[in-house]
Amino acid sequence: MDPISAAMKIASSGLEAQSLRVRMVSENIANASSFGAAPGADPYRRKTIVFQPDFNRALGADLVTVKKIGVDPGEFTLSYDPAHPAANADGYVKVPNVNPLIEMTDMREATRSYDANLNLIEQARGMASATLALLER
Amino acid sequence: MIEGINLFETMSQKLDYLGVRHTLLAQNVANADTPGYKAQDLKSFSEALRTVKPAGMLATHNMHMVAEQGNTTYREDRRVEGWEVEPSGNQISLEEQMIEAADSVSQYQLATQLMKKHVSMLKATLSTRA
Repeated sequence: MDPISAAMKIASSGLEAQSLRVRMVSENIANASSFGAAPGADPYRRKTIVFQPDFNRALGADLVTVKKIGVDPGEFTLSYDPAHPAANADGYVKVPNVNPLIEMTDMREATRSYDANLNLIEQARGMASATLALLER
Repeated sequence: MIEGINLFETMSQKLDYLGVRHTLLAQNVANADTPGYKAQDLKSFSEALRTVKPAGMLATHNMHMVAEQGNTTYREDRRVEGWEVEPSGNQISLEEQMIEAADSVSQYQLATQLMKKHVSMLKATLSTRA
């Protein structure tokens, strides 16, 4: 495969990875107040995503792929709310360990990387069309 | 006209070089958030011109896989140092990569424009009838 289409393939693997990352962020934010079902049960645990390079033999280059979708082992904070259905015997409810600030920062970073990959595809297309323009008279 | 033909050769090498370089930059940007990933780049074009083409592995069977980019004439620069290292060990700065990519695109445009110009010069020589 010629290097220009290889570049587009690689950048699109980047797009895929970053969009999955945005999905994880939205999953976390959507569940920022998903409490446990039973009294004293654990609420939603924040999900994390880790990337790894993925060497592609045909391209002879590194694509990017998701290594692992894990969970954040961070502790749940307790809030005192005896009337809550998920409250334990002492009246405390476990709150999901989702921090909107962290999620927003993560989303910004993912969007930025997504844009960068998109720009590279655009540039590769520009290069391809410049080459095709050599055929014009 | 011999020099002209040589120019064509150098130009197409330059286009090839920039294409391969763009692949590496795409690789860096795709892995911009991969922990521990190091940026890769090619040695400069003038250095690349001096390098001898390595003998690639021969595919003698249709199950053999030949990594085309691996057999490139252009050597990788292993001493690339990025602008910053993230806490995860990732050494890729998006800003830096985008600047490099924009630079290589403009060089590509320059090379194709020059090639076009050269073709029109050849045409001008050929059409002296009128």
